[in-house]
Amino acid sequence: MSQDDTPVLSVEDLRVHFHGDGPVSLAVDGIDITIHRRETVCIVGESGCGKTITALTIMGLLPQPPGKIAGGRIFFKGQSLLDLPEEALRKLRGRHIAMIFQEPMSSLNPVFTIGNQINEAILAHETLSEDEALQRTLQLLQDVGIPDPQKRRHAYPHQLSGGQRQRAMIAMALACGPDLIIADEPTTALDVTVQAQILKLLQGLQQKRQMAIQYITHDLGVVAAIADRVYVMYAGLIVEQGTTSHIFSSPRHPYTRALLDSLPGKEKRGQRLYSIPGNVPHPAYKPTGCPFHPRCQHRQPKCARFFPTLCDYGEGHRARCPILYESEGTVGGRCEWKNL
Amino acid sequence: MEKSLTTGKPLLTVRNLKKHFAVRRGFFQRADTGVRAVDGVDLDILPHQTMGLVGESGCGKSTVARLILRLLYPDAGRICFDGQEITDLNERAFKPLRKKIQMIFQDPYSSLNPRMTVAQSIAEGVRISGITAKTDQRRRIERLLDMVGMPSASADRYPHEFSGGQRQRVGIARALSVSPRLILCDEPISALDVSIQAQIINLLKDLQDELGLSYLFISHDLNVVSYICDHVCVMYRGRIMESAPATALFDNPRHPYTLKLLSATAPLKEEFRTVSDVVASEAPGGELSETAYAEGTTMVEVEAGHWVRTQR
Amino acid sequence: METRPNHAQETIVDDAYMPPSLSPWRETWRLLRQNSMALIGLVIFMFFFGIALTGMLLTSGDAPILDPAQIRLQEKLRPPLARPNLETLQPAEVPELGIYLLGTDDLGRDVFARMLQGAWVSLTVGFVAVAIAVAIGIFLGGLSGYYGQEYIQVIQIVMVLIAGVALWLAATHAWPGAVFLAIGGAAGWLLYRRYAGGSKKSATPDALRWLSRPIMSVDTLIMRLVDIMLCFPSFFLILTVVALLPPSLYNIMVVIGLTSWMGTTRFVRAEFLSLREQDFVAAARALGISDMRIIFRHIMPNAVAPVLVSATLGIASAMLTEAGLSFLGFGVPPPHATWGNILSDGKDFIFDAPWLTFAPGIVILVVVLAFNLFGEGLRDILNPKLRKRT
Repeated sequence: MSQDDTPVLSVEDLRVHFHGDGPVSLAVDGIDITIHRRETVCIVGESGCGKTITALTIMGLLPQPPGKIAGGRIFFKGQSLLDLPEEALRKLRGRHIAMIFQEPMSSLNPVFTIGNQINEAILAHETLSEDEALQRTLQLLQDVGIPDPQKRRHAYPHQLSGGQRQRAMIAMALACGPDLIIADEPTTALDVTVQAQILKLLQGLQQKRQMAIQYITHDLGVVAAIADRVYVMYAGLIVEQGTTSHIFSSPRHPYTRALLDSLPGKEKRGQRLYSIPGNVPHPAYKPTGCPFHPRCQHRQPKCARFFPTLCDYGEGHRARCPILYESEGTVGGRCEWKNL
Repeated sequence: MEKSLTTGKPLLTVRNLKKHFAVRRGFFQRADTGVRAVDGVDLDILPHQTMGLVGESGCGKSTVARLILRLLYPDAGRICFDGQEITDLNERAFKPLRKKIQMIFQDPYSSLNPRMTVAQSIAEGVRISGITAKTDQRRRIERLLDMVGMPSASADRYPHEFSGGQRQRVGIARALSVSPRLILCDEPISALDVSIQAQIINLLKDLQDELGLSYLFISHDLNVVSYICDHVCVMYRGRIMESAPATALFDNPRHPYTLKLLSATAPLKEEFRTVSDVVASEAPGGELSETAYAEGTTMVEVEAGHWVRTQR
Repeated sequence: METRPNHAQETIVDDAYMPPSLSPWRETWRLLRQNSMALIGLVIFMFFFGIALTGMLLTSGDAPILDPAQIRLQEKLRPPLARPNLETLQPAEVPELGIYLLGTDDLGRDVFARMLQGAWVSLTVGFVAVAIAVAIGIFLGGLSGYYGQEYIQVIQIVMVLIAGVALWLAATHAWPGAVFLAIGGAAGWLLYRRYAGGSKKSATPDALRWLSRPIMSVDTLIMRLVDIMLCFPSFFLILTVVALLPPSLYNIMVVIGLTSWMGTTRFVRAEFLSLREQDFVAAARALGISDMRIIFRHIMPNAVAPVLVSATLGIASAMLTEAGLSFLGFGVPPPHATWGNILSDGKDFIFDAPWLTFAPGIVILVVVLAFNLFGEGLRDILNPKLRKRT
């Protein structure tokens, strides 16, 4: 895949807890994520599954308290992020890792022009003359497809449409040529046609700039469109990981399967949709054992008593369900239950 | 399916509906310029049918629903419900008809009164529908909760204790409390978790079969619309661009805007990497034929029931 | 794929995975307990409330147990905790407690008894004035928030003017004029409704069209009125009004109430404006629920939080205003004790008998501080952004 073997980002057994009143919320409960250069990795999951918390923790933006990193390590190009002092982390942030948020209106400052804000993002990390910075700003606006950058850089955020604002956000994130972009649902608030344009833009920019993208979403349509590899999260755990074709063509976890089955479409007209019963568990009141077992149609009594490990299907395809692993027995690999 | 048998007189007819919003300015807040939110919309909803209204944000689709419900008043056009014109009725004359048209909202967090228990919220409608005795009301509330798949124990809890999907069920129960015949669903599932959406879609379909409801299903999600709707209208800038039976519209779209929408919504399993080039190749911001869509003046019937707006 | 025939079975509301049930009021109480400042404020408030109640019981009636009006000239300006001199006092004059807890004033009256009597005055002034202000504020704020976009027509202003003049004539006992105006106004209104004010605009004769011309919105009218009221320095406005009226407790309460409703109006209007756009209000309107029920059953309970906060703070400021008025001699007339006039009487003896100023001064400070703390705490607690949203 890449000449350089060190992954851009590797997260090992990360655990994030939230302490409020009442029981502790295990928001992220031991996850491993690896992202290589030039790779788009999607983290897909529902609200409260811990995907945004993971992103904030990687960026070093987790609010502490109430949040607390209870264990695990995060490496950016081999450098451990959790051991870095705040000052060094701040330098890394924006320059080498950048983030794009869901709501472009609230993440852009309404009282500055977009040109101003991009300029500031550049000058925060690099020593450039005013003129060089301006040239870079114009180039960035051009790259993200904002027409007539010379004029548009004087626009205030409220003068732009939602899609244009998100483009400006992306330009800001790209300001210092980061190696990794973390995009947290950047197209959820946008219309479908604009979403398609933004996704295409991200793909183009990635190829041009050789960066890695960690894309967080709940929308399987987006995943299918842009991901190289996918991590499916449920209740603070990664339940399945693999390439996009693994996930969509041969899903190996009941949750992934149920999600795909429950998607409506014209080919399912007249049939009844499969619907996952029950609700997403509250992070402080998770079921014991496999967190998905109360809603699972393959559940067996031992699902509640033992904790499933990731079962290996080869080629990096893993799923956290020994039941399916046994019934659909693939050669080789190991899969087991852990005692609680 | 039995649906095809029940064609005939439409339950709701909308003709040339218009609503312009005035922008108020100045010390005495006089009306100045206008925004054409809805600019001549025609709809026919048949009994026991689901009519889809598709479009992007700001195209006026929610305004249409609010006009039909008379939460807003139209500037021009006619709305007929069950053969009776309701546009000119005053509030008192419209009151009995109010019960026949109900609405389900997008945001399950703001659609329930946070200071009322589930039972109190539903009881508002039960009372209006003419059930006065407390015990009868309670029985009806529990029956309604059961219809939407909520345990009767949830009746005395407050909305903040429920998840989005459960609140949406309560919202549906409240709409059903006055035994409506038409329910306007304004993006009923787009704020819900993916694993919950199918539950609500199935519930809506079951209720339709059970109670013979008609839906006006407003959404931007073409996958859902293609699954649940019988007839679909595509709306853009306050006007309908294409109107056709769902199968015809999705298999054989005729209008460029419909094509654009369809290509932006890639099918999941068939092929990956299908951010369609039709959409993305377009000069960003240039929006190529945007004005061209809206300029079309006449609707032409290209097949039976399949209408497309064309330029002339 | 497994099919499930009955949709009712598709949900499992499994209570084991849900946080325990909490009603909004219990949630508020839980948050209050965590906010120690607010809790201290509440405790002092309750304590003061108890004192004021017992004070009223002990000092009122024909033969009060502690008589705040009992003059003992031979015992004047005794310091706090002094014992009465039993030899010089008549048996009826001996204080019931057997001790002057807070000393005596220049007429030998028991300051403790006077403070008790004043507590009740302060409390009633605070509550009644704020009740008046809140009532006006909710009414005008609700009107402006809910019906704000409705336009006022010329005819409506004319009718209000006629009604106002008629009421004024009635108040000055000019009965014939009042009756004439009332009947004339009513007849004019009916004629207007009959021939001009109908729903069909085209039917209105051109000569009368100006009558139905909109002038300004309800919102503009009310909010500009608020702005005008806020232009007056309210304490001097109160002073002016009080100087014109005969001094009495009731006038003071009403005047303070009538000059302090503007903040509440703004709060209520803002709440109504945002709540009105919420979907649950649209749902209520879709069900055909009447405007009054929507306002009072659906919107008001959600709008009370900021009103409660401003009311709590308002009580403190009304008590201060009353004390200030009494201090300046415009307050409750003399034989009745209030904290303000105890303070005022004491200022002449501030070096000889400092307790006469310190006792009411410190009590006013503590009580007002307690109300403000409680109000601020309440504001934090009722702020929905700080609430847990599961």
